[in-house]
Amino acid sequence: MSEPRLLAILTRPWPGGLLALANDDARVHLPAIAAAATFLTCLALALALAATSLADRWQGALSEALTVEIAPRPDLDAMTAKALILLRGLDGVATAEPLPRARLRALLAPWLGEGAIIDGLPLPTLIDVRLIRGAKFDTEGVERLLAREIPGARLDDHRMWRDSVTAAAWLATAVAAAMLVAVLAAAISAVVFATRARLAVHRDHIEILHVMGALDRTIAREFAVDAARLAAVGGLLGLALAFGLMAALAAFATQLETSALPIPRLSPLHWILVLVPLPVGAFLAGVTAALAAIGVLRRMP
Amino acid sequence: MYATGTLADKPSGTRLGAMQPIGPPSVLLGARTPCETPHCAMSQPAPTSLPATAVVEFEHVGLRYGVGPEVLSDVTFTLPGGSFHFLTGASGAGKSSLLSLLYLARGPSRGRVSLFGQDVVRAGREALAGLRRRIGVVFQDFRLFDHLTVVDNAALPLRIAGRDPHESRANVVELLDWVGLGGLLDAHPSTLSGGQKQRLAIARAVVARPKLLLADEPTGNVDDQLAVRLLYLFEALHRMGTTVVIATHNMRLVERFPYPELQLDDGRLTRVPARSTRLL
Repeated sequence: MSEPRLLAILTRPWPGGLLALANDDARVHLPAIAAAATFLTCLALALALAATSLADRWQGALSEALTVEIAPRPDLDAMTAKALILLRGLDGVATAEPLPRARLRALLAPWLGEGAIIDGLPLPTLIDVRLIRGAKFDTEGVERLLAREIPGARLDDHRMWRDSVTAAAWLATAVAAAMLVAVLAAAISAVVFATRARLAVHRDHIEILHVMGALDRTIAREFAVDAARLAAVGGLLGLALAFGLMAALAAFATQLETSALPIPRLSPLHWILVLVPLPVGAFLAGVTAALAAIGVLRRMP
Repeated sequence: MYATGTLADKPSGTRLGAMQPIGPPSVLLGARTPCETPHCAMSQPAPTSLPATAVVEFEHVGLRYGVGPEVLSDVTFTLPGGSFHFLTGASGAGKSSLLSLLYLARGPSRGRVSLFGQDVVRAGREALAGLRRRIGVVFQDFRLFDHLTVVDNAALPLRIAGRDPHESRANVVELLDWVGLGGLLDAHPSTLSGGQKQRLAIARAVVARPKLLLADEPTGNVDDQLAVRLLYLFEALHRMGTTVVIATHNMRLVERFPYPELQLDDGRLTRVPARSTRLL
């Protein structure tokens, strides 16, 4: 079955509805609006979830690691050994290992180049300290201890990076929330406009239904159910497009994983959460159409 | 697939096809009459000793559209329950406007309109809907729903009243059979002739057994022979206790069926029957 044929069947009104809702443009426009809104909402949601997830991963990694730097000095090796003994004896420390000089050279090479310049530089000692997950660690106390016992030593707990990551995640979530609000407002306005247009198109029949004693809510329900159904059909399309795009991005991200770039990832739960805009969108379309219809119907005799 | 057979304006053997009235279908009888058989219902005159409670009361009613002149002025009359009236007058005299007040499509610009003892101006929307369900309307232009089948059109008032469509289907089919549309249940109105549409509109108007039946030029689109048949149908409903008001300019019918007239002339009632009129 071809897609246009399938779409025509899905958007066909229920047989025997009180109103001939097939005879208006909403049958095409409402699914199109719903498709666009669902597509953007899914992407916004995915952005927020991925950013939060990435920030959590970074936070976790950074909060479980510290770096102790000992400035170059004549007795650097002795001070390094003392620092290692001191650090390994602290509560909450899993490991404390100095970075090999070769690793230090590799870190500097992109800026200074290979060769004699680096060889001639007095390099500090960097000690990579890994903390036990969940254990308490008194960063400020250790800072004071190091300053007292090993002059020239500096503790870096990556706070600056962690703050930046938190701020970036917050910003991404705020952007996603702003997108959601904008899309929601536009979609609600479109549904209200479409419902009012449909009421105008079917005004003659609505008047007859009123004359027969139909309640406003009975007539409004017709519009609500149809709007919800059309929104669900359009939402399915938008969801399919969004999932297609996200799957392509996920595949692209997997290729990038070999690089040093951290890749945002969606967990299985996140993929399920990204489905939420479909039923929520259909429900909102129905409620919005019902309220818009009631507002117009109450002004009729 | 629906039936698109030949027109059944003169359906041989159908109830409405006969020139003389015969019993209405059981869906219209219900518990309103002590007669259990259609023949009994039609052969017995309605009891004249029942109290003739006013179904319609108009007091100094005026109606204007927007800021235009009054199309109805100082209209005052009372229709007792179970009465039958013609509403006559030249084109533009205000017949349709008066009917629209009766079937609550609009409210009066001034004066008091009371239906079934309830002031319609003070009634809330739910109460108005309740009143409307007690009224059957046959529109001049039928106003059928083309997307619904004949049987679904006829059943619409029952559906709006919340009746189970499956339970009421048998009654609706019987009624449609009675008006000569039994073979066209699944047809759509767009495939019907003018006369068939007229009968479908009447079936829709009476299916919920309204207390007040209003018809706007119900014979305007049919030949004289069918017009007489339709009047027999309205008469049959009237004999079952339904208050009937028929707007028409067909004076031959008015003469043939000597029921009292409400005559409108330029928006004013110029002939008002006595209040005690119930049945001739």
